[in-house]
Amino acid sequence: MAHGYQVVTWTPFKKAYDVVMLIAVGVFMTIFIVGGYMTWPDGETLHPVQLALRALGFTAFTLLHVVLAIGPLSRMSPRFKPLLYNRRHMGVTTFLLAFAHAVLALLWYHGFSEMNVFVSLFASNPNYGSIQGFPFESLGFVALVILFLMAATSHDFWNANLGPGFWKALHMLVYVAYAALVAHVMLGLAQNEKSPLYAYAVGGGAVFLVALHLITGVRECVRDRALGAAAHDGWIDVGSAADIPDGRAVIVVLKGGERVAVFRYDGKVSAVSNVCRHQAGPLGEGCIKDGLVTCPWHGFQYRPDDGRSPPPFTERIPTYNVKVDNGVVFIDPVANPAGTPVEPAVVAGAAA
Amino acid sequence: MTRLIRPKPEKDLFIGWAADTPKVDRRFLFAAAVGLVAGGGGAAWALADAQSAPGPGVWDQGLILDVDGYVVADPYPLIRTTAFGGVKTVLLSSMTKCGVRDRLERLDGTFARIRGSLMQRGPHSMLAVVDDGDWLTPTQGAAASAELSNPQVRSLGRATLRGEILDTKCWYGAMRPADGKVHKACASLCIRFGLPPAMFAKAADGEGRALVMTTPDGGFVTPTEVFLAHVADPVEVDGEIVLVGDLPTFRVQPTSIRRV
Ligand code: HEM
Ligand code: FES
Repeated sequence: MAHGYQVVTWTPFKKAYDVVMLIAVGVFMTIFIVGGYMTWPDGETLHPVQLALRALGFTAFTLLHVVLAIGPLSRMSPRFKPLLYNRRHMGVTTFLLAFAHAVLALLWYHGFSEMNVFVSLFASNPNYGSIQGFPFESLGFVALVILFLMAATSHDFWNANLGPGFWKALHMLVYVAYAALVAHVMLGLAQNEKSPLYAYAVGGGAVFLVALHLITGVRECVRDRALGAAAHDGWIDVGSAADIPDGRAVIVVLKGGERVAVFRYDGKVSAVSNVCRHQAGPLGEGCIKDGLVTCPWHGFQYRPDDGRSPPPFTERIPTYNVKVDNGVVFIDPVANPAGTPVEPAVVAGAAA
Repeated sequence: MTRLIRPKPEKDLFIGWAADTPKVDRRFLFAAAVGLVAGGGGAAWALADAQSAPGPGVWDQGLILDVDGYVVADPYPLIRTTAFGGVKTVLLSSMTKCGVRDRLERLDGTFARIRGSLMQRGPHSMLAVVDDGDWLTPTQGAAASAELSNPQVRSLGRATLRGEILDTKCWYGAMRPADGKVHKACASLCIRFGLPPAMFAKAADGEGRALVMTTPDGGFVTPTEVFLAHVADPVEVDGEIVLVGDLPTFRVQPTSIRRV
């Protein structure tokens, strides 16, 4: 039985996003192909199939870098956040390009013989014991399977049905796929070519991505540390209500690492889990829109006082008990089951 | 430890499903889009430009030729012909990654006409025979036939060559590129199913020559798993370079191949 899931609908923004992405893909492939013909000596062009194979491989791998950079970039600056909104299409496009690349490679290099193409894929180069001689094609295969699983489960339907925890874990495999692809290119084309550019480009891409992830990780750690909150009879002091901007939240990081978003709106305070039921977006970085907690990533919404999405949607997130004492907000660190109604705390003086 | 995070209150919060994208976001995203396309284009050019040239092999599959000459099955199926001016050895293959020994044996050592399309790379030639029944027809030997049926065998001396073992069909023109690790799986398939292996050693001046590999007595090299594992790897081999008519061959002890 399927959970309900909200459809992230088409908007002009989403269309523009896809158009830009497809233009970028088209420009990349065209320049790669034309560039090859313009720079090879006369009569020494790559075979068209092999050229297409390379163009597809490079486009897919480059796009994967963009996909992986968007996450940390959007945590560095909110300006990048909109790019998260339709990242799914970028991921699926990456898979489709990689799939076409793999089909051509299988056909061209492993087909046209008496041996089954898949047997050939894994057995034609038996040097599994060597690093330098390692059959790089099998690494591409591993990556392709992961990209397929991710593309196939990228729709919100799967997110709702697999549960965000499992879904997120599955999608973390993208880093395994990425590592496999670094090796796929390093042990494949980069070894074949005289120019060191390919090894530098792949290495540079990896350094860039690792650095981005490290920087955002460290920055978040430091930022989290800088602000302390004290316990108070089991309730947790979240600071003055007046310090929470209207329609916005503070995020409380509990001992176990659980995050709670405490919102102030209309002279009231409510606390809900910081984790969006969709793709675990940080609700506390969102806002109250039309009276609803609105996720900054894809705009899923929840009622602040019971953590439920308004009908017809059925998502639920945990709520937390709140009280306001002398203008100071306290929350009970024990989560209520998802969807439990909690009376919002009234900010004294604000209630009209 | 409990910690508190205060997200920076953004004046204009982007909400994906809202029809209107805030102005700051629109400006930024436009710049990001331009950056993505331009950066991608630049990267594509650099990646394209750095590729090494794949060699001048060609295979015009549309041009079907009838070639008359003397047919030999050993060490590898070939036809010696004067169809291209002078005596020339043209290796034979099927249209796929498969040799034609089984199909040729009945006319081994006779004059015949073979129909197929030609692969060429410098002095190297191979004919991919057509798949239908009339690809091979017996003919009567021409007058100058002794040169075709009985080529001179001349040793050019022993040598240790450093290079790679590749399959003649791909390297003569079926594929570009047709060497190195990216092509290893394909080369090993070709050789496994009967296409002649060749030792490719680069001369100091660039374009090297591929010497068809045979056993020390000039027979075909059995594609054992050990031999196939060395295909396309950097190797060093001791052997004797022997000209059979116009065809340079390299006579080797397959067990003497060393990876370098
Ligand atoms: C079954 C899966 C795969 C196979 C059999 C495969 C096979 C190959 C082969 C044979 C090459 C060398 C081609 C040449 O230069 O002539 C190659 C290169 C490459 N592959 Fe893959 N690949 C697979 C999956 C992938 C995936 C999933 C990606 C990335 C998204 C990818 C990205 C690349 C890149 C960037 C190159 C270097 C450019 C090139 O030489 O084509 N491959 N792959
Ligand atoms: S709406 Fe997608 S993560 Fe919240």
